[in-house]
Amino acid sequence: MITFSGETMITSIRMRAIATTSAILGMVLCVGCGAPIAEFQQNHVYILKQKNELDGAFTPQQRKDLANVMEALFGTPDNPHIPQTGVDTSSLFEQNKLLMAAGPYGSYEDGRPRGLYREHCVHCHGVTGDGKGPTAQFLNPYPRDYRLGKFKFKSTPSATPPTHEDLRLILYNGIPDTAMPSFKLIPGDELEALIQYVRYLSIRGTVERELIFVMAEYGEEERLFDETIGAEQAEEVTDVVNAVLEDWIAAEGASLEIPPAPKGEKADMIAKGKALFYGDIAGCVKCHGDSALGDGQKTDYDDWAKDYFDPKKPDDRYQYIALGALEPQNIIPRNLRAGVYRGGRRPIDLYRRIANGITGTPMPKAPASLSPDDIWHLVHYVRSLPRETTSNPYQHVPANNRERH
Amino acid sequence: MKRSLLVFLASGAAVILVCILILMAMTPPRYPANVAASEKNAERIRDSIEANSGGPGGGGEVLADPNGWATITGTFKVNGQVPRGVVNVEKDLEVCAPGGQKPLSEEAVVGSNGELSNVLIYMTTKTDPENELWEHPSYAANRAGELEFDQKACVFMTHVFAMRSTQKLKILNSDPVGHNAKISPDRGANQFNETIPPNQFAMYDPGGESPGAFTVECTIHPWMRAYMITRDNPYFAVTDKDGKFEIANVPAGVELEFRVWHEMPGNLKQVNLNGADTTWKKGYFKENLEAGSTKDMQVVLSNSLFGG
Repeated sequence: MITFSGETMITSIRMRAIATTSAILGMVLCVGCGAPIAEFQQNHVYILKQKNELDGAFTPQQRKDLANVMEALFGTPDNPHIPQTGVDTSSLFEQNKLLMAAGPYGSYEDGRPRGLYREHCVHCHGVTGDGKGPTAQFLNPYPRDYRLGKFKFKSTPSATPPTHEDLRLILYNGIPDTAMPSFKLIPGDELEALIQYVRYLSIRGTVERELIFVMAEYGEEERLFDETIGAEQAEEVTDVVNAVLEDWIAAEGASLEIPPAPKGEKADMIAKGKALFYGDIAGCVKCHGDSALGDGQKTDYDDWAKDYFDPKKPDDRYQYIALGALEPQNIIPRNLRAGVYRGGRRPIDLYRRIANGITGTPMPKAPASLSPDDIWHLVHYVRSLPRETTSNPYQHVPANNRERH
Repeated sequence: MKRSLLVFLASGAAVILVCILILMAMTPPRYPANVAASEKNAERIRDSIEANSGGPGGGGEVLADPNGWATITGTFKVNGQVPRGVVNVEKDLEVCAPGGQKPLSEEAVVGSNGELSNVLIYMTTKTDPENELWEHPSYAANRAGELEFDQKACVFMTHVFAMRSTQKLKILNSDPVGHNAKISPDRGANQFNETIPPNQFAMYDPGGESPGAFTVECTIHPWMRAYMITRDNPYFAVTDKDGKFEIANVPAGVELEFRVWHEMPGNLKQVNLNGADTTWKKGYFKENLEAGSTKDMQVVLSNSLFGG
């Protein structure tokens, strides 16, 4: 039989108190330590822009309506939904593929993978596909914000979304000289799931922007969707969604046709390309610079920055940065002597960049007076640049013999 | 003894509180707080949208037919001084700053008596383009065809350019250096970015109506900028160097809505119209004109809108 003296009683009460305190403390410490719930972020930056430019009211009720309508159309990051608005979307995405990419990382009972987007993409591109994952601020160029629906490296004309194959090539090869890695090693159906999920996020983001624009015209009492009224307001939403979906569906047949390359003396074709590069018609030298080092025009910004940043009113950017927009970075023309081409190094990749221009960037499409042969000659010249002596200054030539003497 | 226990528990609670505060301080701010959807409401909305899709589209508001034609005319002025800077020309100086003279900024062009150029006035009422009661025969000629838009000395010759969405635009380059025209409507009209060699041109087909003005830039000379708008209806005007505009043959006897915009303040909301301070909500004003009448608008704007 153990009896407690007064002394040990106090000690044991104190011990118990300490135990309780640390238990409570431990519980308190654990609260909020888990991963945050994945949710789509409303496009706060675009809402503020429309507030500033169009006096949109964007009352708490209206923003709630927008969140509800977006969830009605597209579901949640864990449970994506394909909008059923009367347009056949089977060429864009399938539910079972989206389910492989969506959700937390893991697998389903039948062994199919789940959460591929959060496994591979989210740390740069963000849950919402807004290009604002935790890594984004460290990168240059920034990860793509899918929500504008603009993609740089594709086969279609500047205003048209990319084709399935365009997106596949980007995921498969990655983008050299950027943080975008290659996903060559993941199985084909997983790659397919990611392609469809990128499309899903892009379409979702564009629809949200369009709805925000519609709402900017509303008075304070007007509502995007009053769930108690029902179908009356459905048409306006459906029209917005269908316009975006149809744009993407039509893109599939809009790839630029590439005429065969001319045959000829290679040196001759390179010389022709060089003349065009420095000439007035193509005018490449204006931005890519006198030595093709990409130093001819370095003060411009891309469309993703210009979405909230006007270089003529630089101080206006802070209100957007406070809402999570990234600090604008200048867009620099490609250094053509490095031999690294972000949109692919194949001759047809370079042909497309020149013929179509690069969407969302200062790079224009070739003028109508430049013939397909001219463009091929430019491709020859551009591909010859990294092999020139100028591009390799550490060669053993007399001019470089200073070290020795 | 009890007292020391209380002190002990109180200090324990204080430690917990401090820990919570430290934790809160360490958690990165999630600004702005996201707006979460209500699952139940989202489901109801989904049901309404999906039940409704594919059904016959309900026609919009049916507008009454106009009973004739009227004219809107007027002048825009600024009440005071407005500073005018020069453009920061960075390259091709011999062409873009001839004689070492950099071009004047066109953000706010104000005459000696305050006349304000480049104010855009356009009708936003949705009409049926096929209904001839809504389009005076005098506009038949500009339904299609080509307009010209030129650039010289690295300046777009028309700073605010309005056109019908069914017209095509011939973008000229009258400079000895290459330019490009990067046309960036957010919606409605087509985006465009094409190189235009010296003394050549590019063709732009807007393909649709833009709800507001958008930029035209040259990315070779990024200081160059103009604005453009493409409209389905023909009822729009841009004020000239005397601040004047006229929109002739406007449908009469129906309420029309117009929007007024200038590059610097954006949509014009606070104006003095014919001597009275007037608010144009979100830049809109409404007019129901009598057939055969002329509506004159003398608008005065505060120079504070233009950095004055």
